[in-house]
Amino acid sequence: MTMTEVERADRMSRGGVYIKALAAAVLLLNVWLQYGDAEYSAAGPRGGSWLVLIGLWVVVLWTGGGFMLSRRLRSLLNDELSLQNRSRALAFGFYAALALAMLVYVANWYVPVATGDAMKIVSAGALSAALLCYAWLEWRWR
Amino acid sequence: MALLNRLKDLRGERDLTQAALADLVGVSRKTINTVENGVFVPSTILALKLARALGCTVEAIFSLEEE
Repeated sequence: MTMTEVERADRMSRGGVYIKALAAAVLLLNVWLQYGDAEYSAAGPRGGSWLVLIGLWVVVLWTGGGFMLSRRLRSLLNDELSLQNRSRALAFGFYAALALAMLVYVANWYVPVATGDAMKIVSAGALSAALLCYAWLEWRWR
Repeated sequence: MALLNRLKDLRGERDLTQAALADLVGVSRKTINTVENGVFVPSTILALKLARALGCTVEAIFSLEEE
């Protein structure tokens, strides 16, 4: 029996929850593994890969992703409930960014934190917080 | 002031599943579910679409809880 587009959107939405949670974990793991390694913050492929990683997920969070899907499927995945969830997630990410920035600022009083590492902690932390919040809101009301 | 709704009852009277109603109004099944549970307050446009899909007025679906 073929799935309707609503059923397909339902299934994709559930899958998206796990993908977002996994992406958040990967971002945080990257920060942890690369911390203190200047090569990962320097101009070059390794340093640039971080920008690509962050940029991609920012685009997904901003637009809802699914560019290869049909217009109908995209509109189902980005309906007003999802837009509200995404808006809340972005706000949560903003506050997480501020909190992390303050934390890194204070931490630097006691332990030197390189600029590149600080930027990664704030950006990855904020993005992960937003992705996890979005995933939670989408999963909670599935 | 809370928003009350009879969406689940009206949907049941017309023998529609959440997915079927979602398909009629162009939203996800999750949105219908959260509206029915009072978790999500729909926009005016969605409320009008729901009324049209169910063949009733918006006031028949949604009402304000009396204080």
